[in-house]
Amino acid sequence: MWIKMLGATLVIAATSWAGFEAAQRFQQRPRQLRELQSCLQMLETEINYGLTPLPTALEKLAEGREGPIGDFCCAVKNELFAHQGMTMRAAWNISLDLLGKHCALTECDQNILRNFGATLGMSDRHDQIKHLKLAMSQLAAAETSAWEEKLKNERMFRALGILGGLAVVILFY
Amino acid sequence: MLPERSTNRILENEILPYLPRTLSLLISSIPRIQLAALTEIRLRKGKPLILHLGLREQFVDADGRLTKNPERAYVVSAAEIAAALNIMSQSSLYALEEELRNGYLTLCGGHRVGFVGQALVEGGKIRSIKHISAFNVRIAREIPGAADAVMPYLINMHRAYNTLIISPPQCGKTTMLRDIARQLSNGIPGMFSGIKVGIVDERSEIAGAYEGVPQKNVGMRTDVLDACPKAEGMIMLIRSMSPQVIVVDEIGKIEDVHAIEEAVRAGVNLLVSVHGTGISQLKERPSLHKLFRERLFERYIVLGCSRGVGTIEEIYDEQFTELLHKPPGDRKEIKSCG
Repeated sequence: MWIKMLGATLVIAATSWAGFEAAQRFQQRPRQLRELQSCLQMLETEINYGLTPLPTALEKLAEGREGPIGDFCCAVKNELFAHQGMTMRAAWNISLDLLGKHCALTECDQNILRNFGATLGMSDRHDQIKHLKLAMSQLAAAETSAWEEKLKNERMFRALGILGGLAVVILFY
Repeated sequence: MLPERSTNRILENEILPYLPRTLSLLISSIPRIQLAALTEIRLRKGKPLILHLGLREQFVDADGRLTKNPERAYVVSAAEIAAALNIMSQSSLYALEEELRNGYLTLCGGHRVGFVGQALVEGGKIRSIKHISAFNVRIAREIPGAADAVMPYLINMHRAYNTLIISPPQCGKTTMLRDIARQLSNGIPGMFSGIKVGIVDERSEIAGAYEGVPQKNVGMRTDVLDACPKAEGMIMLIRSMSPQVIVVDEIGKIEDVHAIEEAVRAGVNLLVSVHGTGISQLKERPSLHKLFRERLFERYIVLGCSRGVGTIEEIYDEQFTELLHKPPGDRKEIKSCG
């Protein structure tokens, strides 16, 4: 009897945790997309007005920014200096793969960043601004859909976690 | 000849990190004693890697040995040119807007890297350079004491004379200018007390400023206006920093001459260098004509390479009377560039 009770509690705890975890992704994705946009906005200022070289600009972006996005900016800069002759594109992609493991961004969001990274630093100021604007508008669109999905799915996954656990317990009790 | 250690330090810290890995490994495998007089590293797409050592020219073979034979020389690839540009621009081509327009950039430490490619012209003016195909890395050296031999001619108890340094490229003009500036600024014990010096360093070569701070020793009473056009910079310095001597490198434009006149009228002394081989040849340059007619300069130093880089060939006063002619045998040689 006691063992059954303990088992039931464990099952419900596990499925609830899984549900909350899934909901968490929906909650964090729009925030991270928003943060990325503010990053690119800052980068635009650095490129357009300061003509700041990327390593310095990335350092500024990482400053005071916690969580995966700040870590990402920091990682790009560090990768760039990892060995002589590293290109921006390679440093960006390595860091992006790392970011993919620790963030709530979808494959689609990451592709926006990947495409942007391929052009970063490769052309003159006007061209860079164009690419930045494009990436920012794509991220903004992704953010809008992320908010919608959050509204739809966040509660659902939480409820699904708890209820799913309950269903399993009832079925096997 | 330079002490070996200083060449080592410059190469390792300020030059090799900016070259593609393959080339920096190749050059660092050359015995350092052979590189003591290194002045230029030339990278041309699909052409041999060439080092200029003083006035000599050497190829480098694939094993990192100096050779005279172009057949055996290491050939610089397109990828290496691209990598060099990537490293030198810190992967940020947009940050080099001004540099791409001018055709050169300056590395930390004041080393100038010139490049060529295809010019993009807009409204009759060069907007940028694309398809960069060749680099010339010029190693700037600092030689404290390079100006020891000329200093007595350039000062009296109270002030520095208006001085023009005339030199062909690569004969130590900038090195000389830098050391004179340093000695004027710090003063010479028992001979001259230091004065306020203002440097307008359009190409960041004299003071080698990095993010505004001089990397070379230009003296303790020296203010450096970095990367500023000469003519405007001279007027700015006079208004803002009250210099007693203004130092500028490689004058030539008519605006520069106007600014020099302005400075002299404001009671500021000048230390200026110009490309040329001698006074008579310079007098014929239309833009400089006025300088000679009005006798704005009180001392002329002619540098050359007749006895090695940085030979002091002649010194004249304002009447063009020779104060010094042809160096005696023990004259100190100045190895340098620019």
